[in-house]
Amino acid sequence: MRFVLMMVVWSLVAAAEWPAIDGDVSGAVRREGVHDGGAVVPQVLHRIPLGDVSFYARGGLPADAFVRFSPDGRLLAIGTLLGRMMMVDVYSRKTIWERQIAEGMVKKIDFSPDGRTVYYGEQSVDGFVFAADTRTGETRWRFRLADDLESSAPPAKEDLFGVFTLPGVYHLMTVENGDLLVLGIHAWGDFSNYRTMRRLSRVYRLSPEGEVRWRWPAAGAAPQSLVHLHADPAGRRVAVLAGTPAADAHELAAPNGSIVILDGATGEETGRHAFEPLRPFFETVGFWQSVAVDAKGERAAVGLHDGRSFLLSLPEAKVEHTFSFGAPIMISGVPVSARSTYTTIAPDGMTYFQTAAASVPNADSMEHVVRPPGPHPNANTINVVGPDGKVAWRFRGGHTYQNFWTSADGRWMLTCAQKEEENLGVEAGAMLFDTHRPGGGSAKLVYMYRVEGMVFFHADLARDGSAVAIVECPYVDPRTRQLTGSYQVHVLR
Amino acid sequence: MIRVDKLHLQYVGAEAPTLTDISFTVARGELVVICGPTGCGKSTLLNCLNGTLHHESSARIQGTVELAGRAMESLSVPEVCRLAGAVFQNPGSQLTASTAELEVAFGMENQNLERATMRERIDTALAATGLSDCRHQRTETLSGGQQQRLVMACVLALQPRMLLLDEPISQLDPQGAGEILRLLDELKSQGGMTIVLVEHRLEDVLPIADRVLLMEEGRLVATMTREALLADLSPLRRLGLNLPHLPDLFERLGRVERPLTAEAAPMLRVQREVPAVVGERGAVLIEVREVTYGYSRRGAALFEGLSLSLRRGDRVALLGSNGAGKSTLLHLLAGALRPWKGSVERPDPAPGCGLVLQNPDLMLFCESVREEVAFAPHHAGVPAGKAGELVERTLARLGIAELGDRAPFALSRGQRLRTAVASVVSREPAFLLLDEPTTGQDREQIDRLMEGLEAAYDVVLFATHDVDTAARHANRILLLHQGRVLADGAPHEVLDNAELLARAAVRQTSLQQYARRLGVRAFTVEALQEVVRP
Amino acid sequence: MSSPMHRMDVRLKMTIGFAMSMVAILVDSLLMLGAGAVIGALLFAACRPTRGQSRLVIFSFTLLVWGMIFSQALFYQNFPRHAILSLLPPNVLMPEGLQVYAEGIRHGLVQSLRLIMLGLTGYAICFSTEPGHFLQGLLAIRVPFGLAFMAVTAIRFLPIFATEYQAVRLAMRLKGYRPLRRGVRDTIRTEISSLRPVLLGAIRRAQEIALSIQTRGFVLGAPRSSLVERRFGAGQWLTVMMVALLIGALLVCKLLFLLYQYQLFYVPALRPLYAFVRAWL
Repeated sequence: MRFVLMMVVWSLVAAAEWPAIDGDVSGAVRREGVHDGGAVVPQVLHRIPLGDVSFYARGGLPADAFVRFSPDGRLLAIGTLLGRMMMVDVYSRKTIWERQIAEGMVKKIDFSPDGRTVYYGEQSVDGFVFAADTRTGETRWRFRLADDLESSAPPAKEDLFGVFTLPGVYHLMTVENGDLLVLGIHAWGDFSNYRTMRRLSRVYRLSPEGEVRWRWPAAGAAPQSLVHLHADPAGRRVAVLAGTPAADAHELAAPNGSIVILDGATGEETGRHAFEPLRPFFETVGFWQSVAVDAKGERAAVGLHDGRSFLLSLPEAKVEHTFSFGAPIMISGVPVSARSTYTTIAPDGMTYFQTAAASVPNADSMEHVVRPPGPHPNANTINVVGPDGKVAWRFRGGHTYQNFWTSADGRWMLTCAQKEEENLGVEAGAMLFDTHRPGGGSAKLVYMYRVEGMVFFHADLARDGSAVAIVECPYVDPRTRQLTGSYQVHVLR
Repeated sequence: MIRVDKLHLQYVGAEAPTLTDISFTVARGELVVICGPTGCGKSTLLNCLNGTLHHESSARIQGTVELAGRAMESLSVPEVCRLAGAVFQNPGSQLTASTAELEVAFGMENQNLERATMRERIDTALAATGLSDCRHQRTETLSGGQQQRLVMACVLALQPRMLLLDEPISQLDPQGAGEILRLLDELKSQGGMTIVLVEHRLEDVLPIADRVLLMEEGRLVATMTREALLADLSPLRRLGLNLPHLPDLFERLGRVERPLTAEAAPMLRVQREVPAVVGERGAVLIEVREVTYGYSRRGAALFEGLSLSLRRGDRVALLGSNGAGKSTLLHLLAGALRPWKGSVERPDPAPGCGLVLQNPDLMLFCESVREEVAFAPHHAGVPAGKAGELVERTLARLGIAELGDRAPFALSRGQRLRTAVASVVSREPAFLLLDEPTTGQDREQIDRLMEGLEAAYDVVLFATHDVDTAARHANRILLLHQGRVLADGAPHEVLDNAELLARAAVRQTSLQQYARRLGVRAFTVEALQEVVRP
Repeated sequence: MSSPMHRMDVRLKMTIGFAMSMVAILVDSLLMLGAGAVIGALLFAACRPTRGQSRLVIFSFTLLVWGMIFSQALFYQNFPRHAILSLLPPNVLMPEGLQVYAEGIRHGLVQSLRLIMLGLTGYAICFSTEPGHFLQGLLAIRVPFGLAFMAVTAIRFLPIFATEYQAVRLAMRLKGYRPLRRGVRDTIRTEISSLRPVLLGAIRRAQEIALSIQTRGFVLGAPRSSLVERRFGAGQWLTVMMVALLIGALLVCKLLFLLYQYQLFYVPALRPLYAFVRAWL
């Protein structure tokens, strides 16, 4: 009788959302081979408070924090909007060290392949890249971006978004030989009118000792936004997305809306491809952080604002496959599209693309139609493409997905998920997929871990897939006007 | 010690000289009183002696002024200070330091003296002025007499060879004045100090004076020894100055003696008793019932359960020393203060009473005397025609009709007082309250003012510490001491009681003391003259 | 009257007063200004004010704080700002309506804390310092005697002028004057003329004082000695030095921050200092 009752309760709970279990709960952990409808419960190892960001949250700025697991998955580095840089032992839950970056925020973090050095980049008047000892936090060297990218006046105290006018490390990744790829961007001026803004960007390859191996462009910082970069793990080829030019730009490093392929060893350009705007709906080509290079450095995945996604051959700088996932369709005579926002190519060769919520292209020229008249069928969708260029599976659960993290074997995939419904409020968290499970996207979903506040695009998955870190930020609930959620990192198994 | 020869002085911009052809000398150890009607140039003369006028450019000076054989032009300000110490009327505006000790040190600091010397001299000066106990007391907490003595101490500490005093007792109550005069007497008789004193209260200063200089309209009209002056009071009479009472009486009686004190006066025979004036008492107009009031609610009350009534026809002198509560009582009667407990019942309708403040200058804020007098009717809403008539009548009654277009602050002190009174009475109050109207006024001015008012109002009440004025102008005396009414009655009842007066720290005049010796209740020269046989 | 503040050397008091005014000018942080206001309150309490003085201070500051916070809360124009209470919804009377802004309250609080700390310190110093001591203090810090004497004499006679002005008002009232009863013009004229006797009194008194000090040998600029030995104890020196050091450090910090803010001078090594100034000062 007792057993039957337990089973009933179990199935009821399983049918509903499964709650997270805090602390040491023996047994109820993610296990390999659990499928066929079996529930997997995320185990919360740690919740790490990051400080008071209510000032920013009330001002409508989602408080950023960057998290990165060490290669062995034992340590978690956390950098915050408030300039805190922490190293936490995932399993003992101890903070090994902590540094306070004054007058700046920690923007990006990565570990050296041997895990002994942690690199972190800031956004500040200097825009330093720091190399620090993983165990002690002691700074080994620092590299200043502002020397190349110029600097701006420090923001006023009450200026919420002021820090983003400073030079910052917008991407930072280590490659197998220990070298470091850095993308520095400095965009300043009137953010409300992007055409008048000034911009300088540059890509660097630094040695483990902090020496510059090459800079691109070699002649000087590019007067435009180099939106994102990615390289293969060995650092053979680097793909860079060239974006909006600065107001005073005379000669661009690469045309707006093109991908530039660099030789990882020398930093010389080996090829480029300029994407054609999807006229008449789009006059220009735009990107978000949507470029990824595969493990061999042969292929890159790119997503565009117009909703198209591509697989390119890097040696030839040519498009191999085009996917029109979020490309415009006509609904009631109004074009509706969904931006292709993030992409990654997993070590197992699977390429992941995301589309954002449906929108009307060139909305500013069609002011009376701000909201799309109907949903785009491929909006808010994860599309997974096999090495053969064919869609292998999709997932759509009503959420907006942001960013991908995959384990070293490609089996585990993590993404941030959030949806907002008028009456139900915000549901935010992260979703873990076991991509090797048979079946469609829903069958591969292992769990969704929910947080009280909101998630942005910051989380991480340990290389072996054993642990997950998710950044939660507080937001003002428009219905209650109350600050909801906390500024913290959730560490899960 | 002082030599003035053919001194002429004319202020820059003045039409006529203020001093003309003044020549006199003062010998070492002599006390000379300079006397004359208001505006005759007494103070200017004194300022020529203390050097202040020689060291500024506000006046053209001709003639010689020598101090201790040195011409004034050759002396610097500090040198003059070492020779001659100056004391002025108002002690309140001569004190600048916070404590008595620092005040005395001020002058010596200016002379850059050593600290030890200063301490020594402070000890001596404070002891000489009887202020040793007040050394660390704050200057504003000293009484008027003490403050003026402190000013003297400041001057004495500089060890001058002469003292120049400009009406040093005119702002003080009789007690304070007595303290200063005693001190001057001591300095003269024991220290051989040369003293020049400008004063119109001859009754008080003559006993210590050697000589008197009489001035009129900038000229020296007489230089007499005290005895010569007493022998013939006619110059004083002609100038309308305050006469010393007993010499005045004896001169009127045709006697040769000129006693200055009651003790020195020969006993005259009384030929008849002073008829007791028992006036018919009118109806009660103001009733003060059980009034309790004090300066601060945390301190003790000044008045506790004070009751009195004022009747039609009352001419009340409110006598008492400083701090007795005279002004406070006037303010309560006028409704300017509200009693904590009890009540003050005044006749309806307003304006029941007019109050003239102690400092009449503070009541004068208009551009002309006429405007000043018209202020109250204007604000009472009296129609313009009637108000004009009222203003002219008031100006005439107070004898200031010809001053109508003058600026009040440019008038003499007596004229200012009369303007202030006019500005109050133009409201036609039923009764009139005057707070110390006699301060700084000479007798003739007081008489002129009081006589004009006595007839016009149902009740006239004036606060004073001048017993002589009380005796001459009141038909009722309220003797106030520390908020209590010690005596309330006809002048002959109250002024005869020396013990009560002493308790209230009110000093009898020499005439009253003499009348008491004779055993008659007469308090004015005129009254006593009536009843004694020459 | 003897209280810790009364016993304190006037130079020390002046140093503290100066320090507090510097803090009020230099510091923007709510917490630090709050701390300053607490120090001001402690100084005020240390001068053992009378009930009347306390009442005066509490009343005036309550009025000031309320007025300042309320006006700032309603009319705060900077961004970001968040309405926490809506007195008038938008488009009623005004396009924006009338909102109480949280940031406005904070801004008002900052401003009123500035005034409170200054006001309380000022009151504490005034209530506990006699003009004579003040003169000694000014002399001790090498203010020329003529200047110090003038300033202190002016202060000393202020109460007298106040009393005289009260007397003038009383005289006017007794003569039947009531403000506005006879029209605005008449009232303005009368109010202005009410100052005349006080001003004349002040001039007369000034002449008397001048005459008095002149006849006691005062010559501007001439060498003077002093009865009071102006000895300053080691403890007091130490306190003054510490306060001076603190204020100097504060000034340098703020100056460096301003140079950094306006991109005139910047050293990366000073970033912790910049952050400290931003967060705490």
